[in-house]
Amino acid sequence: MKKMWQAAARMGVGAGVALVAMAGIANARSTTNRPASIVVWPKIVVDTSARWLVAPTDTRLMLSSTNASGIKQAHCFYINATGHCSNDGAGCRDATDCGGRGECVPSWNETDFDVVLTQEQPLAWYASDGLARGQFPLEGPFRCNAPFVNLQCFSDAQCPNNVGCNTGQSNLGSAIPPVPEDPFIGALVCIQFTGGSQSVPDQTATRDKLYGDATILTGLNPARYNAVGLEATGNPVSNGQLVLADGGNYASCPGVLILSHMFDGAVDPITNNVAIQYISDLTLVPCSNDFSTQTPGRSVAQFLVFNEFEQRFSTSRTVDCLFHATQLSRIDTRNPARSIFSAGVAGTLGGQTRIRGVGGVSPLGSGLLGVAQANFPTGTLSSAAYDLHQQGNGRSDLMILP
Amino acid sequence: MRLVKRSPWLMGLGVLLAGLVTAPGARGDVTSDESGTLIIFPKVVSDGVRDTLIQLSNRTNSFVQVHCFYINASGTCSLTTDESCEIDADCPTNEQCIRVCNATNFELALTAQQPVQWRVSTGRLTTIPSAPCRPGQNCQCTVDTSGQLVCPGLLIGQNQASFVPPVGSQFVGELKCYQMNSDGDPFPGNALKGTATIEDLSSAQISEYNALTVAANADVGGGGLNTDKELRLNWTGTGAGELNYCPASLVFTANAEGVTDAFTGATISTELTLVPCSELIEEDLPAPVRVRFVGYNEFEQPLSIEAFSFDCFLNRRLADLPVSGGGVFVNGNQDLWKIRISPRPINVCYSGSNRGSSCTQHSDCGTNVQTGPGGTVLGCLPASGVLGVAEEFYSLGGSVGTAAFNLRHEGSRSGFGDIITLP
Repeated sequence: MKKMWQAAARMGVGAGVALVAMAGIANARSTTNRPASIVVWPKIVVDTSARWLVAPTDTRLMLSSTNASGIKQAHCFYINATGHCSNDGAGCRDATDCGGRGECVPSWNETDFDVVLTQEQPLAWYASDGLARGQFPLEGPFRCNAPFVNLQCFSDAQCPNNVGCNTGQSNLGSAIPPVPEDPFIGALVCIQFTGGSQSVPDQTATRDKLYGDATILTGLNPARYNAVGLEATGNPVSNGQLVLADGGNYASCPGVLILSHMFDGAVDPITNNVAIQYISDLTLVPCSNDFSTQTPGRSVAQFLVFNEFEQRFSTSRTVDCLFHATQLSRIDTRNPARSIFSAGVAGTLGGQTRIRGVGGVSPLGSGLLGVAQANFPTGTLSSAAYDLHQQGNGRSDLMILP
Repeated sequence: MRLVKRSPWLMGLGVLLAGLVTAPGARGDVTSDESGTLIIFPKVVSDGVRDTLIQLSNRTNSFVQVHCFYINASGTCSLTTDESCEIDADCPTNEQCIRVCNATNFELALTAQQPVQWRVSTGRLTTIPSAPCRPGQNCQCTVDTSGQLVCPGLLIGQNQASFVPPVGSQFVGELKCYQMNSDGDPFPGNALKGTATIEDLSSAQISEYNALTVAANADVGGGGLNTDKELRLNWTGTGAGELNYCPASLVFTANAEGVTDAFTGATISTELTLVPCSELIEEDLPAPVRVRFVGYNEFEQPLSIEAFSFDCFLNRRLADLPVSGGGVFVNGNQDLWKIRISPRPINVCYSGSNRGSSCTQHSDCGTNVQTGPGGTVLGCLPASGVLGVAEEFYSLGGSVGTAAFNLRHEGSRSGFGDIITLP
């Protein structure tokens, strides 16, 4: 009897483990490789007067549809995370932008807009400019349906006898505003909608058709990264609440982000010129946002830093709406030379940092997304943006639409 | 006797847990943001003008052994041997572009969570002891009398021996590595991730991309990764199969070649690098690739290159696709292109006297058709899948800014998939 119980228990545990294992394999998480239904650009920088950076800066954004047939609508939210100096109200990323005379007071607001993409269409715009009416590729004028095909139109109302305007596939209905201030730092989130008069978050068979790219141009120096995608599960969205979780409406955010980096101050091993040293920056954004009440996601990023000796260091910082470390070695201290991200402290040139979002404000979650940029700030500016790696599925996150 | 008794249930549990812990991918995809057992750096340059910094990391808390091979993909014309080439069309009439695509093998080891990096041209020496950097001092590598890099840090290897060998200054090609066990066989630990930074030696302009990784099936008893020295990319993420399938197609959005960037005034050019998913390392043969390009501009107008062939490696500006100076995804055809690259659905001879020819059966490949280490006939097989990376060049007044980026993947291949034969 005892043996039977043991056998049954073993079978049960085995089956349970198998189910857990299967679940781990079956559920998806964010991706920078595949088209998706939610696209997140974690870092958008505009500084056309070079107030923050060494040269005028703008971000060129690309949004593309891989849908082979029919339009797709993207409902997008610019998230303005630009702070303002307590002394003069100037835009700032952190206190260093306030010249040491004031604090950088954080702020957050969102601006939403729609983009309609035709089948297989790529679109691009500068964040400082946006795209206004007349700047989209396919806006008409179009032709009325027969028998009035010689009449030009933009909408059905402009055609006689209710024959309708043959707009085919067009970008009509799109308008992309410029970012709300300059200088600006923030993020962009676009969600694939079905389009049409009853447009809803797209969970149809043709979901997951969008992908995005960003190129941050500082002078002649481009830094390009892939926007992060979250694939839809096919589960319809209710009450404008987008659940990012296993069994939810969209793929989970990652449980851990992994950043490969050279430590700040490491001399470039290629040129071995001591004047060329790595300084990397990091941008993190919460997966969760309540756009309806203008409540940004908030969590604590725990950093676990490994050097080549397998020694590890740790620190943590709050991510409130958007976290931008202008250099890694300012994450844990105001004295970069004493930072655990400094090559002198870490002891080796290269490192690997694991970043986990914890905490979070209910009902929002604590997941994080991000992008990094390696920089040689001395001499001729040189930099390269790159996506973070990821591991495991995070807990549930939530986006609430207005 | 009791000590050596093994419980099948516990073994099963172990296998399941191993599968749970090591399977990082949610699906059978090649990724650039997850770790894997096979890692691919499609674009490695050390040509005297630019050099590459490789960063390779162990994502797990276990000790990891790695086998790597550089594939030198420089090509020359068959008769005019002093002329370099990418494809046959680069050579004089009736000549072919011959790529040797020979592999240089080496092995290394990574401790738990360890990141390492090396400069491709110089490689890196193992030096014991290697003192760490100190606050207030420059943290830098030095070049040994042998010409190899010596850096502060810990490398597992024989003292004063190459941790990674140098490739010199006439190398363009790729780097592939796979995780192995102590017997030298592929091991499905899915621990590897990496980045590559390509740097101009005079201007220090850098481009960085994430290496591509392929997760392996850890279910050893259920048709997972085995020891037959053939890596098969034929796994959907569930069931039998060794490593995830390559994508059915690649897609990326590029500025039209030669277009002027409105913000900087620079002229933009894009260089596309493609490598085959299949690789015949043991047979020292270049893998034949047959792809189709389809582009759509912002006006939804399509253009295509229907049958494009190359062996082993392609590194080419959009201005030169399909032929030098005859690019179709260029400025005159609008400003923006979304380009999809798909392996053609045909079979090709991987070896034999008709290597590279289209075929329907092995006998179409002529004589000397070879067999892989695991017994797979390397004759008439599906044209290889492809992976790649792209790099943009912003040129203005003699200065050039660069940025690399990873391509998007759509779908997965099916059926035979791809094969990498190991030495």
